Amino acid sequence: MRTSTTKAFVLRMIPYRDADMVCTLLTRTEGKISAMARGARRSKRRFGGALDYFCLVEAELRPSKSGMASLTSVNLISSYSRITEDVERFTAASHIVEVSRLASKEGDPSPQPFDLLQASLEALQGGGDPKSLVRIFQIKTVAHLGYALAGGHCTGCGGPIGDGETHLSDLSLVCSSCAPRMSKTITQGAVKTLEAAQRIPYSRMSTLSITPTLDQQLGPLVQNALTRALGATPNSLDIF
Amino acid sequence: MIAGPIRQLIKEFQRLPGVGEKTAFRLVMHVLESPQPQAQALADALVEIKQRIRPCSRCFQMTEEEVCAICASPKRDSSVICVVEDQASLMAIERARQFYGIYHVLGGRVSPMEGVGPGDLRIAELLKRIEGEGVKEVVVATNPNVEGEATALYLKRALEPYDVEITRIARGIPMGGDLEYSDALTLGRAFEGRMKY
Repeated sequence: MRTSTTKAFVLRMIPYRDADMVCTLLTRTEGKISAMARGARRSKRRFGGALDYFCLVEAELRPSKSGMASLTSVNLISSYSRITEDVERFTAASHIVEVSRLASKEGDPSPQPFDLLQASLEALQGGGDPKSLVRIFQIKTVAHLGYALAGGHCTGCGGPIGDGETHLSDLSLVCSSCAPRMSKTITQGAVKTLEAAQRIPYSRMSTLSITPTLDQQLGPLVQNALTRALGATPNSLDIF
Repeated sequence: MIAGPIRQLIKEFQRLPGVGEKTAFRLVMHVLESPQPQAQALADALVEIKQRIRPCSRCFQMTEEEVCAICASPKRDSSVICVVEDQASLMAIERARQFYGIYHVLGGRVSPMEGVGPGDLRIAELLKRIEGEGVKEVVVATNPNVEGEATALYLKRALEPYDVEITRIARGIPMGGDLEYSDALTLGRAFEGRMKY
């Protein structure tokens, strides 16, 4: 069978047998792919240091009749290895990679998860604030999964939302009369931050800073929405 | 219809790392076709390992005694502790016969993706040993990958307040390797870690 090459990030590596590794890769045009990397754990590894988290690689894959593709070679395009020089950045990047794995689908041609992961790692490597970047990444992921913040109209009754108190349920705005049965009050500043986080282009994510006060309001709501949208709780959610 | 004991043993083998249903079935068939004493020896060994093997009270490698042979040996330099992720790393270093200090087995590496934080590793136990055992050097020998490097960073931060030399095993081109086929990351590490010759 013919081999194909594609740009990819490693999302997960599971040791298999003595020296092999089952890898989950995120590609730009085919979504998530599982591949067997034979001999990946030997000292003279055929993949060198490139087959690791936080590396953008060109992966050569050979499809298999039995199902799982073989990863035949890996060439390093960019390494975001400076992330591991700081504990908080490493933890943030690990969370971003784990959520990318949970949020992406096999065979999904949408480039968004790949582009968001790449932009987030670039921003972390470039010195952006890890806490803000994680929150923006979470908000964008939730939006990508279909839970975007709907501004202007109440998602409960469809009526307009006034300038007074703002209430939020699953990252959607609700009016004062729907609020009692639908959750939490947040400030206009938090709503604006939420909207800005959704709108900001990937390339400018590190320019948006979320203050600790705003993050206190947004954090639990965003994490709750993320868990619901993913249908699973990421292992790294508590650690971060 | 598969007999109950066969189904049960397949299930038990499937708990082992890297063993799927087909491999588990092959193993069960092998046990069934083996002579009775061989199957009995396997069962006895499994029971014995759980009854007699435990972590060393000092370094946490697996041993039959309260304190393992390495920690108890007067020939080992107890002022140098090599910190490894697991038993397999310790055994690999022992096979090389190049290190004459003692060990500390962390019990894993920091991996937020798997829900493993620094608090899940035996870092507090390491610090206690440094306070009480006259340690002069700690060699951090976690794996040279992203999570191993991050674990090394956590350790460095935890060890900095102590009056102890912190060293890291060298990373770069493996013996028998070829520069032409080395990737940029490995070559970069090799140059970072170059030394006087």
